[in-house]
Amino acid sequence: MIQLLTGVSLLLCLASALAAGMGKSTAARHLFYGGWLAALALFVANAVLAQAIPFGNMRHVLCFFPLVLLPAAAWVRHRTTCDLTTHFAAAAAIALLGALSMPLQATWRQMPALQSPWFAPHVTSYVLAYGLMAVATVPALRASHESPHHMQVADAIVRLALPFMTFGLWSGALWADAAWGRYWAWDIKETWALLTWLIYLVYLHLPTAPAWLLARKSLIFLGFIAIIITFLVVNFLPAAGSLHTYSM
Amino acid sequence: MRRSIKISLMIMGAACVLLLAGGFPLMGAPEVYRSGAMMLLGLLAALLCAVAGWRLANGERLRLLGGLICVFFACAGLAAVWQFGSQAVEMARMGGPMWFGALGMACTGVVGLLFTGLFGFFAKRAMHGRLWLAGAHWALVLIALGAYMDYCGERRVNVSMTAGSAEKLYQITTEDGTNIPLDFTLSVDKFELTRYDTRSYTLHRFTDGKWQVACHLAEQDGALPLPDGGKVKVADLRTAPGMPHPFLLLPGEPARLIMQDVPPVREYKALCRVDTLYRGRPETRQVTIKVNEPLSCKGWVVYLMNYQDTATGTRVDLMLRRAPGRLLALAGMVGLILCTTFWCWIRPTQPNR
Repeated sequence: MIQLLTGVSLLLCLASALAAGMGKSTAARHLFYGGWLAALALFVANAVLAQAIPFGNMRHVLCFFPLVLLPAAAWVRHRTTCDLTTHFAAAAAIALLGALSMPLQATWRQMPALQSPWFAPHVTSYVLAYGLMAVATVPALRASHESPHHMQVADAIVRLALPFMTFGLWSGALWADAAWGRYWAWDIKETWALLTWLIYLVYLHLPTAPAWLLARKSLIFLGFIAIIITFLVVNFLPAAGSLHTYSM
Repeated sequence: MRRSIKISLMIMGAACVLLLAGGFPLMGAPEVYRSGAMMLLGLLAALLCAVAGWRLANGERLRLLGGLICVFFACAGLAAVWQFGSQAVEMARMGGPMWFGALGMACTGVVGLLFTGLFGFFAKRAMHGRLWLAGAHWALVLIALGAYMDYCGERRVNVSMTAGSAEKLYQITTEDGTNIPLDFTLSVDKFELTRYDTRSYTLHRFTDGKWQVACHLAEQDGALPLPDGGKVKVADLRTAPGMPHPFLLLPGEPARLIMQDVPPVREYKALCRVDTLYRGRPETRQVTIKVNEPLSCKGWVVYLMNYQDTATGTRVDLMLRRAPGRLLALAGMVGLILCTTFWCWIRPTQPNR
């Protein structure tokens, strides 16, 4: 059932990305809605299976991506009048593809440290922030002196995502203060999350003048690399001794 | 580009490089974070943030102060809603005469909501993009101040107590051998552990002189499919003295063993008694400490860290912590979240660079 729902959602998101790529924006949007509904059903199925909010492992989190990316796409369309359905649907499809390649972990149960009111908002905000920042990379890389509009779109997405990233980082610290007795432990995941956040802060400190376009593009790309390391690579580093091992 | 921005960028860049250097455990560099270089960078960053906040609020500092006070009251209202509202729900769930208390808590929660709405409105009127940005910089200063205060004056001691014993904790001994008397006495009356009602199975194989995990088995219609194509009925698993869970030894070479796994822990909590003085009179409190719910008493925070089953009973691992900068740092974190959110979302068209 879980695999089937993941597959259906993945196919719909892929079809949406393809349709948007071919210029059929209405069909793309409808397909994305379908993918979102399938992802919602998947979320419910995961919750029933886990008997808790299904954010406990990497597969759960990856399955959650499409749920937040559709509202984010709608917001960006509303705010920038730029239709980025291709990017958002493709990002959702990549996340679902990752989820499909991971073991089901049907017996996963929420451990005591995760039973906190911070759990859901912390994970949701990070998923939103990382999803949005990843999408912002595409228009940023397409930006040039001839088409500065792409950079403005990327800038709008970064500004939408930064509060979520800030909330994710510092709500994690507030949670850690209650659960581990310290708000900052220099854990490997925390360190990379801080580094990622700092890269986007550097980006926001740069002037918007055309002369700084290349630097700003590079920083958004570096931020994307940092996101990939924080979200995925850190989990596979040997002997990391991370306090975040449950997020693998 | 202004010189202050250049310096800020240099410091942030240096912090990024240091974090990168320590970000790979293979390089064994986590100590980088506690090094003098990082401490100095943190200090410089805090100073720059203070200056940036001061400059950003130029000409409107009183307005910023008023706005931040309103933000504080709005947050206090929200905290009241959170604290008393959740307690009201908890008491209402217990039923019976608790309803009266629940009603009182709910009223306090509603007052908190009014506080949040009123002061939130004033804060929104007083502040604008640049002032929110100034607030975000000062919030970072608060975090740094709290962190440095903790670095200099934090006390943290791990203790282990047997649940249900007459053991009492009234002073702690730090790593350097200093005895610090607590203004209260703590004892652990009871320890409760609950596990999930789930069943999972693991196949072990006897190789190289020891049992090794071969794979996890998923139950299907009351049977466990084996990797070699065979099937074993779950009902065939047996219990035996000394074995905490059902198991089955399979015939053949190498020897194979199916064992039911220990179900994961759902929750554990320590029911503690705290004896202290309240306004000169002795007071005894029964408190439950859980993983995410530490106990605060007389400037100390007591955390439930772990437990161990021993021959003499369950040992409960607690951590006692007194951190002078904790509240400052936590307030800074909340302020940073709020100010960044309002700066990014309320006035996204004002770059303020």
